[in-house]
Amino acid sequence: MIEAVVIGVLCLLVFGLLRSHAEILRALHDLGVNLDERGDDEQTFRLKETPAADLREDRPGVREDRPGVIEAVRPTDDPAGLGDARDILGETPDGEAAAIGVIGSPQPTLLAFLSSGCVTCQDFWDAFSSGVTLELDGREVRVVAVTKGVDTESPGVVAQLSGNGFTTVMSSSAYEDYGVPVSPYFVLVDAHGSTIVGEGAAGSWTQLASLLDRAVADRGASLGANRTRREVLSGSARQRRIDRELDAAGIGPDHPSVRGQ
Amino acid sequence: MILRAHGISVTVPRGWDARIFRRAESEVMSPSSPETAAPSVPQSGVTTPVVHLANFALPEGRGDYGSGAVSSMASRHVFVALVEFGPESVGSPLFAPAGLPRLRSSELLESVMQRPIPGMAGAQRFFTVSGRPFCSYAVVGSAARRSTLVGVVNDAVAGISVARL
Repeated sequence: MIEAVVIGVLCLLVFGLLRSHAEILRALHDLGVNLDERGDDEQTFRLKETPAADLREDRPGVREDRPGVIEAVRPTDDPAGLGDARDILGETPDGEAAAIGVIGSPQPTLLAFLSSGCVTCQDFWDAFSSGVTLELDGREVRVVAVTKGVDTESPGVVAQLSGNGFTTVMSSSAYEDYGVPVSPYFVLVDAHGSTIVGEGAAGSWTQLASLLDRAVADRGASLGANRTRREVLSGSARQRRIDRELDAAGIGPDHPSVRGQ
Repeated sequence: MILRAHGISVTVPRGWDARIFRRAESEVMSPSSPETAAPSVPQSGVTTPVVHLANFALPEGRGDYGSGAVSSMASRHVFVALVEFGPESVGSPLFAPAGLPRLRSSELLESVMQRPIPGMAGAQRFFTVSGRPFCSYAVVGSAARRSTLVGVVNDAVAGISVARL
């Protein structure tokens, strides 16, 4: 009889511990913390709202105080900002000396920091080579694949991965300028300025596209804030933006507020 | 931001794209003349350095004079190509002008373009700098705005320097 009571009490304790553990995990998940170190299924896209107060100083340029989340950190005057973009200096896999204009470009720029050796990067090389395009706020995004320089990467191997539909540049200094902690890593720069609107790691092309969509939805008010007058007045771009913001708010064509009910 | 290669230095304006390159030469050699038996010239010909400078995203697969890039230009865009010629051109009347050119807006004409595109205009100059013969080819995205865009071209070209080899 006593044994049964003890077993029952132990079962209750185990049940309570498991439930408590589950609640802790759920709370951590809600806070954006992922305990999975593998990173393949990680979504670590960072938007400007991320507070910078809890950055660690022991590893300059890298933020990893949240397990499973690795983010670049660079100097910025705005604590809520991601810093400013920089133009890129390097060389192409064909040996051309190359300068890539990122600042003030009339179109948004996606800097894809890739390596030729990592398995995860292959998905992005394949996607870019197959002609996949990104469009943000009605404007085509320029895709620039950035590998480390010839001191680290083989130009011949990178040349085989590059394609005519996107720019490929080899530049170790770009990795330093942007504080890139891992590959693959992505930095999205707004058009007509030097604002970094989002950055982070993604494990697949589909995941990256999803992350960019979310970034645009979340930052819809500021993305392209420096649009030209013609772009601001463009009805189609405005319509797309409105649709996207309504969709992000969960308001679809059947929503009662849309039908005036 | 300064880009350097092949004895050419380009101060790249903020936000601009630039390339300095030299196309690969054929490893197969041919006689330079019927009288010469020994092969001495690459079958592809001798290649020389080329500079491309643009205030828009340079696409891959461009020709020396910007084919493949010029057709994608918007009205506010400018493109500059600097193509070096072989040493045999030094001293010829065509390359007699000395120093990097400074264009006048009246020189930018649709008829000068390698492949005329309605609304655009181009200008071509031959010159020698630091003992090296070059052709410069500039294109503006809007002939109507050439009086403004010529200044953009000239400012960009002023940032190029060529060293004697």
